[in-house]
Amino acid sequence: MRYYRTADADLYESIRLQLDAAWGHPTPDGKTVTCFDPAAVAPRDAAGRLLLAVKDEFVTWEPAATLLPQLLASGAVEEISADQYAAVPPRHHGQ
Amino acid sequence: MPMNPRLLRPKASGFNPASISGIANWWDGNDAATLTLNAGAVQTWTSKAGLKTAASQSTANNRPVTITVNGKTALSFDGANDGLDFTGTSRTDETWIIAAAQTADQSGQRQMLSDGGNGTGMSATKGSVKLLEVAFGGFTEGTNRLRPQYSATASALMGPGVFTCVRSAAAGGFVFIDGTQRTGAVSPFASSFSTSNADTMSKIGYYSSSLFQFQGWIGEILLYDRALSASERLNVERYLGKKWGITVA
Repeated sequence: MRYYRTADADLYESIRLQLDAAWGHPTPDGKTVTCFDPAAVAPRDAAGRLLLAVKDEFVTWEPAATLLPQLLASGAVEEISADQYAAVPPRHHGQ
Repeated sequence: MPMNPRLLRPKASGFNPASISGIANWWDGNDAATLTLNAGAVQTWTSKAGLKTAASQSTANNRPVTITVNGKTALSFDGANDGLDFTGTSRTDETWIIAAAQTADQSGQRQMLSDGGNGTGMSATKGSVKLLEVAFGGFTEGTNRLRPQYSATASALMGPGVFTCVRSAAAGGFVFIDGTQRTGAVSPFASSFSTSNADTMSKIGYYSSSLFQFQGWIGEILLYDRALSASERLNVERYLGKKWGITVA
């Protein structure tokens, strides 16, 4: 797994929609709607930054492989560790 | 010399979970015909009996993948955002039996099965110990929830195991791990929960893509629309145990 975060929700959404367009999402059969969670439902850390976990293969597929180095170089997107991704433990229902 | 066709037939297993009346759904990861793969991930897992409900994931990144467990194909959930959604049925009487294993030391409540609304269902929960949390219709311990201890070690991984909830409005709810009935490890240490609240399960492997995600494999899920008898339940649990390499009582 690879983990990323950004404070820029607009950037997050533009990346998601750009990748969706490249991969043809949503598909005509409606079975794939998007490549990853929209900002509105994506997890956020305590500072309100959007978090994204993707499988290793995801970042090797075009166009993500092309886009990602640019995003990381810009500083707008950071790669983080699994521990940082999971830093906010889920609460428990009924407690 | 050609092989005698009789020798090429699959060997009879001797037990078919669908032979028990009331089967509502049977998700079997090892039945390739029930899996729709997309870019190597599971887009749809379709039940092979009863309502034949399709559990699916419309977000590409949130799809589980397949792995091999005991020589069989199971679904692997990443604990970050993987899960499958399905249209469930509201019930007070039902039996859920799940062959699964948690593969990472995860914090809090991690749902193998969830209603996706209140957070009821069946979960691996890490507290001061590791608990199998079973809640249907609410979270009052002994009323609509029971949390048996799976391990005294909080960081212990839950499973591989066969996890069962049998419940009915008339008789209450009971929890079994690997074929053995378990009582609650949390006050009031009940042996059953007196459930009469209807509940609708609708998620496999998570509550949502950002909450209560289960990291591990789920090989098979059986759902009956009634409380199974002890012998019926054990037959299913032993079937799952043998198939997935789990010792069942």
